[in-house]
This record gives sequence, structure tokens and C-alpha cells, in this order.
Amino acid sequence: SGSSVCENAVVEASGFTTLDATIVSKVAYISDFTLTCSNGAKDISLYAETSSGVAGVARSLDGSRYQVSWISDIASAPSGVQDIKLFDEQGYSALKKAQRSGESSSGVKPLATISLYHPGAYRGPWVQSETIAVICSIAIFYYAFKQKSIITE
Amino acid sequence: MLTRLACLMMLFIGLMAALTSASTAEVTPGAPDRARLLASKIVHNLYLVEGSDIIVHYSLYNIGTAPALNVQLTDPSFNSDSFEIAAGQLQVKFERIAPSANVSHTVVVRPKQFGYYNFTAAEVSYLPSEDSKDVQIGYTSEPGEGAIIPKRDFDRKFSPHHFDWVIFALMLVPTLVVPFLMWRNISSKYEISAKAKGAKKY
Amino acid sequence: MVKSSKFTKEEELLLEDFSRNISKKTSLMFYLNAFIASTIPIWLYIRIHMMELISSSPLFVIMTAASTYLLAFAYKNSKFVLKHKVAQKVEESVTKAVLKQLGDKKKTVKSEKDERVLWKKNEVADSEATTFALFYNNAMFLMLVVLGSFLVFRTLSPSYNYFFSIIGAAGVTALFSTSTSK
Repeated sequence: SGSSVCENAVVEASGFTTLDATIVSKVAYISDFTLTCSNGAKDISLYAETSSGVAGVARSLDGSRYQVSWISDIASAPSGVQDIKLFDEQGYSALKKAQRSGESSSGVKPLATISLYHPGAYRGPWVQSETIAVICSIAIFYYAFKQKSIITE
Repeated sequence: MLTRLACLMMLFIGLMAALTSASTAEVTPGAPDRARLLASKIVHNLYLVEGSDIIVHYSLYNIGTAPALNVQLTDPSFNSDSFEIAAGQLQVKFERIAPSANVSHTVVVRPKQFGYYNFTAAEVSYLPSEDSKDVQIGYTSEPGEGAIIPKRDFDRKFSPHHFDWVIFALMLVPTLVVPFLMWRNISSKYEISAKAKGAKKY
Repeated sequence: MVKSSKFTKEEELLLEDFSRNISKKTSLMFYLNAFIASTIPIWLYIRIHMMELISSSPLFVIMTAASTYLLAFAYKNSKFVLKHKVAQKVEESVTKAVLKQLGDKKKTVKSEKDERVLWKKNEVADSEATTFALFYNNAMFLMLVVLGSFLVFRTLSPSYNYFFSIIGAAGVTALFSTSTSK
């Protein structure tokens, strides 16, 4: 359990976001990272603030890697740079205190910030080519039918 | 008469106390605070396709009165023969989950094979209170059985085939465009006169 | 003067006008067009519905033959119906055009003029009816194939989809060509 304070936190992160949204019902955002402190502090408990709220950060069983992840509905999934603010225990308490008293939480300085880039997820072609084919074939026949009516009236 | 009133009041107070204690989540008054985690595992996919993402989302919610400590979530169900991990870790821990707080965790896997697959529950272990030495073990919900479609079948069903339709449109030229132009060519030279309607000489 | 049993040119043209017989050349053109139109849907089925060309070829051959026959039948019927109507409609403008062409030659006899007009009218009506019959029936057939394969029979397996779509489209097209009420 983390009790020491991390100084000059350095974060190395690798990110993943859902790129093909045609077969899933949510967009997943995942950031897998390591935390290095200049003072050698280890075992730091972290909390992360993301677009889906503030929550505890998961750690690998050996404690070496952390993971922040969340999911979002496809229609409202934000794209572009997603800021993940990391807080230690103290930061988290300050954050909760600011929220309780109604102050803006931007006053609390995060331990580190991860920028997770989401280019947007592919949702399929905007119109099915089959639909176009059905519409066009009906339109062409309709024109031919009208011409026939003119001839045979 | 006073004793009877006193009796009734005692009964009333006792009833109220019982009701109050019953309404607070099955905790008998005077028992120590304990954490209790509800865990769910949900697969957020419309289709399960060989080689494509499967989004597995775990949620842990503490409905107890004490923080859950050293919470470990392990999912042994995606073995490396059948699944490739695209992102996320299948064994993680959370130091502390406060009462009424929840945490979530997401993993993205990709199946290496197609066929029916039973998505089983992941295991959750935690210390229900600071004093407790016994680890509580629980399980997440089970997503159940799913059918992983072969990639070829999925592509056939969902690829847009734009190229094929263009070729189809080109093939329509000799069957539709050429007769149409030829007809237009003739009919424009010899305008249809409305007056000729019914005027048959023979 | 004893009337010879041989028909005059006028009567001959009239007979041709009313006859359902079409020249060998037109017949060949109809069967060729019907064949081309019938083979086009196969492309859709092997590319989009992922049917195997080689293994499904017996079905393709049979249905293409059936569809070719039915479409040629439709073309013939349509042409016959249309030719009459077109002939009526273009009478005035054909007459004008022919007379304009002959206008300088004042020597031409009225009967010859009438014959020329009749012949030209027949020719125009024939070619216009032929080309329109091809256009109209192909448009109907292809629309019905597209509707059948992507809407009506879409839940069936590709082979059944192909069978019902083709027989349905060709059959309906042939059926509608027999109606003379329109």
C-alpha cells in the first residue's frame, strides 16, 4: 500500500482505443503505463480522472504496471486527445474535497497527465451500396414505365 | 394503566428499532463493518468475429460498509492458444475500494479461432475489512456462450462491395443504355403527336 | 380485272404490321440481348452473395437458359403491342418527314407517296418498338432481380435466392409483356 510520495513522476504509457466500431456496442479507451519516481518511491496508489469520471487505477499483480480504462457509447465517444490526470492519495482527497465544496477540481494539480489519442472509430459506410442499387433500379424502371405510358396511352 | 402504556411504548420503540436496523442492508446492529463486492463481467459486442476486437468490461461495486482491501481481479478464461490480448491486463489489483464506490476495468481480446465459446466468470478476491485475515472470494457474472464467426463469413456479409456494384453498372450499359439511346434517337426524330390518338386510317 | 391472289405492296405491309412474326435478324437480336441480360445477375451472385462459379454452374446454366427464353418472349410481345401504338403516334410526323423529303419531286403519284409513308411508318414503328421493348423489359427484369435478391429473398441461401429471383423476375417480366390493356 502506497504511503510514500512520488516526486517528479515520469509516466511511460501505451494506449489503445477502439478503431472499428462496427461489431462492438461501445468504444474502449485503455492506457497501460509505468510510473517512475525520481526519489525511487514505489507502490504508489493512483487515481485517475478521465472523461468518464474519477476512479482508482488498476495495477498488475506485481505492481509494476498500471492500467486506466473506460468505455463510452459509440454515438457520444469523444475523439481526439483524451487527458488522463493521475493523482496519488493526497491528490485524490483534495479532489474529493473540492468536489464536495463545489469548487472546480482543476485547482488540484495532478501527479502526471497522460494524453491518450483516439482518432475516432469507424462506424461503417454512410450509405449501403445495396440501398443505392435498389433505389436506382426502381428509378430507372419508373422512368421506363412512364415513357411506356406516354406511348401506349 | 401506566405500566400498560409503558409496555406499549417499549413495544413501539422496539418495533422502530427493529425496522430501522432491518432497513440497513442486512447488517445486524452491533456487527463489524464489512465490505461486500458485486462484480460483473460484460462483453460489449454486437458480433464476435475471428481476429476482431472483443471488449470485455469488468465492474466491481462495493455494497458493504467497509472499504474492500487488496482487491484482485483475475480472469483465467482467455488462454493464449485461443485468444490474443490486444490491450489491457487479465490480472489486476486495486488497493482499496471504498464503500459505495465502484471501479471498472476493460480488456480487449481477439479470438484466434472461430466457433462456440463459453465466456466464464472471472474471480475476485479481497479482504472485507482491515482487521480480517480471511480473504473473501467471489465471482463476476458470466457473459455466457457466444458464437465467434469466421472472418470470411463476416466480410462477405458486411463488406461494402462498391467495386462490384461499379462493374455491375458498367455491365448494364449494353442492356439498358444502348437500347435507351437508340430508342431516344428514333423517338426524338419522330415526335409523338397527341392528335394522332385514335386516328387510325385502316 | 381479275384480282390476283398476290397481295399488293400495301396489303403486304399491312400484314407485316399486324403479324406477330419477326424477322430472323430481330429474333437473333432478341435472344442475344436476353442472354446478355440474363447473365448479368450472375456477377452479383458470385461477388456479393459469394456463390462459387464452378460449383454452381449447372444452376447458372439452367436459369440463364430459362431467363433467356422468357425475356425473348417478353421482348416479342412488347414489341408487337408497342409497334401499333407507336405507328399511330408517329403517323403525323413521319408523313411530314417523308413528304418533305419527296417534296421537290412533284412527279410522284399519290399512291407512291402513300406507300412510302406507310413503309417509313412501319420502319420507324418497328425500330422504335424494338429498342423500347429491349429497354423497358430489361429495366423491369433488372429491377426485379435487384429487389428479389436484396430484399425479398435476402434471407434465403444464395442458391435459392438466385433461383427465385431469376425465375420471379423473368416470369413477371414475361407476364406483364402479355398484357395489352396498358
